[in-house]
Amino acid sequence: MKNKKTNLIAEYMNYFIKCKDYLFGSRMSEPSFAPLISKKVKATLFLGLLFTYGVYGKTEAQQVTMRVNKGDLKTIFLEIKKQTGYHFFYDESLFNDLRKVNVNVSNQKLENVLKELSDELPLQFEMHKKHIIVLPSAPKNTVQAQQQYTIKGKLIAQKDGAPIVNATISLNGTNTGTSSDDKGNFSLKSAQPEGILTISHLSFKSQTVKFNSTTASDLTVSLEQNDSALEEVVVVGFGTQKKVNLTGAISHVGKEAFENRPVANIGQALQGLVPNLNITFGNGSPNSTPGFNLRGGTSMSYNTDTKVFESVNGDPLVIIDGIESSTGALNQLNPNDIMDMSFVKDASAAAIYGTKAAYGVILVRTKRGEFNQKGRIAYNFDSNFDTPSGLPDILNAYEIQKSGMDRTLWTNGKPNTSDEKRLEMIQKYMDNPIPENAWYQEGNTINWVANVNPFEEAVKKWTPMQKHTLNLSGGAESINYYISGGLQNQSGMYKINTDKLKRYNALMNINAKVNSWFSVFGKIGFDQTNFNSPYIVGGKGSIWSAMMTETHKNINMPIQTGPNDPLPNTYTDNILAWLSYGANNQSMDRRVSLLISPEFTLIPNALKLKADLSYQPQSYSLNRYSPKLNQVVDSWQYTTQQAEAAENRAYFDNNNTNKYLVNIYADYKKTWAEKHNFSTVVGYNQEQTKFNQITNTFRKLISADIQNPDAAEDPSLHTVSRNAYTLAGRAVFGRVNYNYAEKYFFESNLRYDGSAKFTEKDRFVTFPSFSAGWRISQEGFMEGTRSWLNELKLRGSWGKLGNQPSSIYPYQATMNTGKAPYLINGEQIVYINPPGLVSPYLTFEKARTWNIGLDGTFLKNRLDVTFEYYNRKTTDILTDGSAAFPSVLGTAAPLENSGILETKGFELSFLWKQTINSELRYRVGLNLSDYLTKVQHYASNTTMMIVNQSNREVMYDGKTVGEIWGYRTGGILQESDFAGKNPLNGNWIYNGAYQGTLFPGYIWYQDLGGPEGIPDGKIDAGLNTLANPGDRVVIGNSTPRYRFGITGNVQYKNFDLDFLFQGVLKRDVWAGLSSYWGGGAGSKWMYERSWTPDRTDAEFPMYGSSVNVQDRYLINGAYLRLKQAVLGYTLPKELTKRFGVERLRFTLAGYNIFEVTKIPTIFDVDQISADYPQKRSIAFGAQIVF
Amino acid sequence: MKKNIFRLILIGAASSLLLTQSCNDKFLQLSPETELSKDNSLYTETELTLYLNNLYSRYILGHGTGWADAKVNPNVVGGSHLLASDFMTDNMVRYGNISNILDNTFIPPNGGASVDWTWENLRSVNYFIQNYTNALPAVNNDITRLNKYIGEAYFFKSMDYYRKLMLFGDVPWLSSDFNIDSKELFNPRDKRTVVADSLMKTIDMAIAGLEGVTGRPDGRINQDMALFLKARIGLFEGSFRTYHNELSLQSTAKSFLEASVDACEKIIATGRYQLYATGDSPYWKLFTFKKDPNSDGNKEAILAKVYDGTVVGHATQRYWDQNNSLSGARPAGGATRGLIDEYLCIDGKPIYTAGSEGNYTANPLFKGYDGLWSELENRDPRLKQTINYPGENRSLFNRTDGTTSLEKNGITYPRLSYNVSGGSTVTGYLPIKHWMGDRTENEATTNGQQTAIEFRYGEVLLMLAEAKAILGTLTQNDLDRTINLLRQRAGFDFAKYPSSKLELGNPPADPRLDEIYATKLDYAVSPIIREIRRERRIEMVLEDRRYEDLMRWKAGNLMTVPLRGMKFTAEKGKLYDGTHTAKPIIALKEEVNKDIFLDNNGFIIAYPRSATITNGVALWADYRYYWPLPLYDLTLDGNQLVQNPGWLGAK
Repeated sequence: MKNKKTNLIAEYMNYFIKCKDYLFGSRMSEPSFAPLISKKVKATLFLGLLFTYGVYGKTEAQQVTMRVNKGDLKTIFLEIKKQTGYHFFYDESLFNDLRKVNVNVSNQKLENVLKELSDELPLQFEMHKKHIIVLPSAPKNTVQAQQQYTIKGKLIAQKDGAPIVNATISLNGTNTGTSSDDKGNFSLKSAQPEGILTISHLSFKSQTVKFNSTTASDLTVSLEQNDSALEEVVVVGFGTQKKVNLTGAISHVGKEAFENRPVANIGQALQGLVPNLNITFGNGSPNSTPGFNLRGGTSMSYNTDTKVFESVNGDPLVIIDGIESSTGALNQLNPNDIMDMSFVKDASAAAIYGTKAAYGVILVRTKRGEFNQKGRIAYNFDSNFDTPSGLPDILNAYEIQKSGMDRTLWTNGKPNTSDEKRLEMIQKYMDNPIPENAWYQEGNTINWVANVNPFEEAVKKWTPMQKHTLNLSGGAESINYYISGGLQNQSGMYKINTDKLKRYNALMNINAKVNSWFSVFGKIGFDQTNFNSPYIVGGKGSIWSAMMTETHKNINMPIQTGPNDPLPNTYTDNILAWLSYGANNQSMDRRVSLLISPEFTLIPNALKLKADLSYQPQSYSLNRYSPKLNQVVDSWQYTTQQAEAAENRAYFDNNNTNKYLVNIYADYKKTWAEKHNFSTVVGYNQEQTKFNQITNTFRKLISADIQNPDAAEDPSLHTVSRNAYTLAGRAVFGRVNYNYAEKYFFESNLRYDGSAKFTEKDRFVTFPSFSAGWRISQEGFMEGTRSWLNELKLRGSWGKLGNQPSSIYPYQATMNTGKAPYLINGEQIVYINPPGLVSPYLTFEKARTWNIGLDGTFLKNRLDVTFEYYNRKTTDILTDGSAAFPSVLGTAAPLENSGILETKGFELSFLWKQTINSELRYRVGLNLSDYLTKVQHYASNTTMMIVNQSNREVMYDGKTVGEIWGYRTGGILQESDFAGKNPLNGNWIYNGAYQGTLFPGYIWYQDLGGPEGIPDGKIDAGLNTLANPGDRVVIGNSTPRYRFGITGNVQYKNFDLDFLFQGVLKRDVWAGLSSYWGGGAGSKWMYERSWTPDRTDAEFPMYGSSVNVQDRYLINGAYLRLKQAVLGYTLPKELTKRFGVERLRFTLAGYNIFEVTKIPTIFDVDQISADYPQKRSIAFGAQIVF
Repeated sequence: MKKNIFRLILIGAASSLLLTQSCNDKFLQLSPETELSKDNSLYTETELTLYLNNLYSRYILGHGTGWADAKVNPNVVGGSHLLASDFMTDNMVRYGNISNILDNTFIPPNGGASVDWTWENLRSVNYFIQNYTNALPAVNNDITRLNKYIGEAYFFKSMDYYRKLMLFGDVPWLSSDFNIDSKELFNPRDKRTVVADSLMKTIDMAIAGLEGVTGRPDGRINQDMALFLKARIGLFEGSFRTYHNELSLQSTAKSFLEASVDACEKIIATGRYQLYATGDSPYWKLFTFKKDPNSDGNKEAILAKVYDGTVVGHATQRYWDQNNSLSGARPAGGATRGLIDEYLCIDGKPIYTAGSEGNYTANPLFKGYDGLWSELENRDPRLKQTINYPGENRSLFNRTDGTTSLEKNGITYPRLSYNVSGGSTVTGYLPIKHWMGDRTENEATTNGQQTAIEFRYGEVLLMLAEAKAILGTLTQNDLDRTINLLRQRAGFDFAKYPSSKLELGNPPADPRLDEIYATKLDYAVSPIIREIRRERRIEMVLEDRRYEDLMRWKAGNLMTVPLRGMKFTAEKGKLYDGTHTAKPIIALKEEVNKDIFLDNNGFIIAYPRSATITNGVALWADYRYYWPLPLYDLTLDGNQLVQNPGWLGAK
């Protein structure tokens, strides 16, 4: 008996623990099993249990007879109690939502009746003496824990048999689950010897497997790769969505696009990958980062260089880990830390971001750890070698001198005697290039005749770049982490005084489940870029354009005088002297991102409250130092050619931006009747940005190295300036999603947005979007197509978003102050300027976008096709007033919300993937996109001018953005086209339409314009209006049309090859550059193709003659480029295991490898200018995982 | 359930705390942090002063600032307006081909900037005039205490309209700054008579406002400056109406001329100014001051822009010396023979004293063109202080080490090539007015210190003489206190050459100049006025006066006098034969019909290969007395502006 008693106590204790678990939820980590019984009931139950202590025993058989039609449980329980005397213990809340039941029994055993009830309802009953405890039914297995069976198995990938790590295995009908380990093995316990397992993994298709007592200990399950793009989960604003449920135009790029790529930044990696993600390259300097744009023309903005409003392709909003950021910050991230990116192109999902997302949103997630994942150390290394992708092949000193003299000769002039002498001396130097021959003296003046090729002197053939990333990731049951550190060390292309960029990245992402209802994500991001580059002092302009111009300095002067010259080894005025003499910029750009995102589960599986609390300090500093420079220029005396170089000077710019952001939002989801899926997000946002900048200029410093304001000859010359502003915004936002059986979808986003940039009455505006989708393939009538059509979805969206003006205080007229370039009684004066004009009607710019999309998946998920067509109309663009004002206004007309721009375009993408066998599979993608932007209304141009007062192109109603106005080329004039020469001044007599003074070798243009279209005998620009453009017509368009990308990936055994072609099918380029046409140093390419009296059939006119924009010499800017190719080899695991290495992969990669194009080879296809060249790269990389 | 509610309350409380923290009315109400806002300005005398300060660099251009190569439109070349303006007159030519401004092919520009149809500066003045009374409370509502401020504003307004009147004739008279809904924006131009009358009223208000305000020429605007400006305006309008008989306003000229006379007399009466006459070459020296225009006892400057070379500086001297027009923007070139010929001989008589064209009787003192710059000898002493005589100053200057020495540097002769890419005088007459011979100043790139004299006493004397001469009230006493003072300062020796003193009853005969006036002008010029004009051309050369003079004298046709340089004699041919490339004689090779082209008399032709002119004769047409309005303004809806006759867009 003692034994029996002990046993009973043990049994009771066991039971007690079980009950407690269910009731108080201590072991329930999954939120879905949150405790269900209120405190009051718990107390009662506990007392009841105590009361029953010791009397627990086998129940006597009891018979029940009852007939209940649609009765509720309480009634049934009462009846049972009446018949049997058994008490029921239960939590009232258990009965919520339980349906009514029918009981129709006569003289059934109580146990059987309860069994019947428990079969019908999600309840179970436990009987103890005269008590029956009612429990939820889920945790059946643990009830019979002492009867467990162990199921063991291994998960492998179908295609290559590789183990599948971290898959989730759950036992159907129970709460039991586990995940596979790093070898793909798993094991779990089952109460039953047979059952069904469900196996799921992000990258594989979910699968169910039956097991029985014979198979249970050795299951091998091979899973099919989940290649259907529709199954992807993508980030959207304040949440994620399965791609299959999307109703907007959203593209998605995974981490594979960034890992081990031969690129310096994220922008470079993305070009060509995402249709209508337009990446633009300013120049090739390591510190210049590409610009991003989604879908072309967005708005108009004032160009401070050209002083006109232009249509611009604005930046999308960048959200990194839920926090508003910028394209600049994006380019500063370590590409290896990116988990994925979503590109929201239409208004649908963007509307939740309101006034900043009018032009799309790029959502970026950085990598995180995973729960229950073994710790992992990965090290990535890449070593690049970059070479300029296009450099002008310039003429030598002799050719430059000769070509100028030839032109003089052929244009009714005579090369003067000093030019002839010069030519002779250049020849002498080139025959014997010693420093003493680099100059000759005329009178007291030195004439320089060296032959410097600045590109050879200053530009490196190959420059190195290295990238290192070390990251740790992993997770325990309630915490995971990703910690990463990166270093990029990049050398620029200057051979002299090489520019150097260093980027440091650190990232720590931690996700913690604090308890069943509270978890928190924390992030610390640190990105810093240091850039050291030569500083070219004021007045010298851009080194890259200088290398082509002012050839007397930049070609004919040596960089330094020779060792035997009267002033030996001294810098000259060659631009390369300025590059090398020691003036430098050192900049540091540091961004820190601190983020805490708590998440509270208020109702399990239904209601969550989340917040993002973020602080993003950014600091920038520039330290510029330009020492005094003594030069030799035109005499053997030291001189200084620039005021800035007449003294030691230092300049400091220190600025910081502090950005505070709070998002608080709740999301709620619920499903009714299994088919009505509803979810919503409602939130609040508040942000503030404070900017503060102080600049200091220290002049006449005593020593080159001591940059202290007191260590100066005249400390009173130091100047300080300050700039500061604050931006603030506040908004309420929300989203509603509804779908019926994942077949019909509806979504609406809305934001009520307010900005400090407007007056109180105009401050808040509402921006809505609506979208809907129809998954046709889910319809019954599509049954017949299932064999070849896996998915077909039609989508549509409409939305109206806002955009804020870029100026900080647009509605407030200010009077700026400064120091005038004027002395009164010897003192510099401070001035106040008159205020500008401000429109009293300022408001947000609005962008209305509609989008139609079609997604299809065909042929057993092998082919994905997506098509989008969109129309974006931006209205209320802030431009020069609704009317044009005469000059007497005396100032810039105030900006008014009047411009209208419309962009239409499409995106089309195909992705084909196939697994041939376990050793070979491949994937090929093609995307094609296009847009064209039209100016619907540009208010201030009422007279429809095509160029403005300063001969700058100006927008007019109906203008197609990018159009090029020019003349129709007639041809190149030959002597036979002239009626001889005028004996009075020796000029050629030309009887064609007047177009200035002409010579053989010049171009003549077609006479198109005049009153009523009748040629008027002169070539001119008319009134510069659309009605009278003179002889000019639209001859082309510079917008890149039909941009495409071809991506490919082949995996064969341990090899993988990844490539990306990218290009443009149509584009016209007018290159009005001296590096192209000649004049200064010019390029041989052009020189050898231009007209001479001996080469009258040349393709181009006389070298250096004046050339107007015209149709014949437009460059066909179409191209196809192999943008990236990465060949990888992963060492066999068996081999690397021996060294404790999980994975070891080597890559050989190239960037901008070759092009097929008609663009002259002296240019990069993306940068038709004489600026810091773009690069081609070859890279070697390794990836080691421990 | 309760636990959920509890959590909700907790979180709700926490988040509302967060919100209310930053939730206040000010959160979205932000104002500029580093700029003044419009609604809060011009309330103190200090603010009035600082606001007026913005006008100084707008209106008083001097030698410019920084690179100083900005073009003062509508000049032909860029750089200091004092030097550059003469390049669009018969005084100076530059290398290369003739500008379209001088060959009748200039097309009205689309925008106003290139013809100076600009209104930003005037708006700034008018804004002040509209708002300066904001400061009344600060001066206890005593408006007289604001007089000096409004006086300054009216001074600048007068400067603005004076220039607009000179360039365009009729212009809209704007009395306030505008907003976009101002009806006056589309007003037609006001008649020149209205503009001139308003202008005279405005300058009178400036003078009245500045009552009692005196000061340095490089200080704030004072009453003397305003009087000077009034003298210029009066003379301009008075003489314009006198000679432009097509306007039929001759009868109204008198009051303007009298106003000019009155203003000049008042300046003279102050006794604050006198001609600078220190040293051997005071005339040359006058334009080479640095920093302080009053140093060395100089009391000639009335308004000057000064530079300290550290916070405000320019590169004018550098490029004037370098004579470098590589970029084509800065003035480079030489004086015309036409200018040289106008200088009197040292006896006060012209180079030709009798005869007729082709058969002149030369002044015995005149040495002719056949020597090496011998025509510069025995002339008005200002000639060699304006044009370099080889063997003196600039030709001995080594710009690279700053020395001036025949022995050390030899003589450098000017380049003549019409198309050498920089450094050519073309005519052989290299200007040295404004040239300093100072290596430090040459080395100064953007930090030059050369003083720019905008208003000087010498011009007061010329204005007085001319205005009185036109009025017919000129006396010998007037000549003696004006023209003859200038000649005395220039270095004429009245004792040795009594005829060098201009006498009202006995002006010298000048058949050459009379012939030019007779053929080029449509009215007769009396000998005394001819002499006063000569004096003005000589004295004020390269000071931005000649163009304006040609306009008001209705003498645009003088620009068609053939543009010539020196005579390229056989002797000079030997000099420039390419064998003299080192000291003592440096003359780089110039080949006839290659580098230089000569007329039938052996004189160098300017602009020899220009396509639009022949034989170095610039063109003139009377429509050019007024500049065109920009096409852009003319094409605006509701515009009531009318293009000046003769230009594109005229009806």
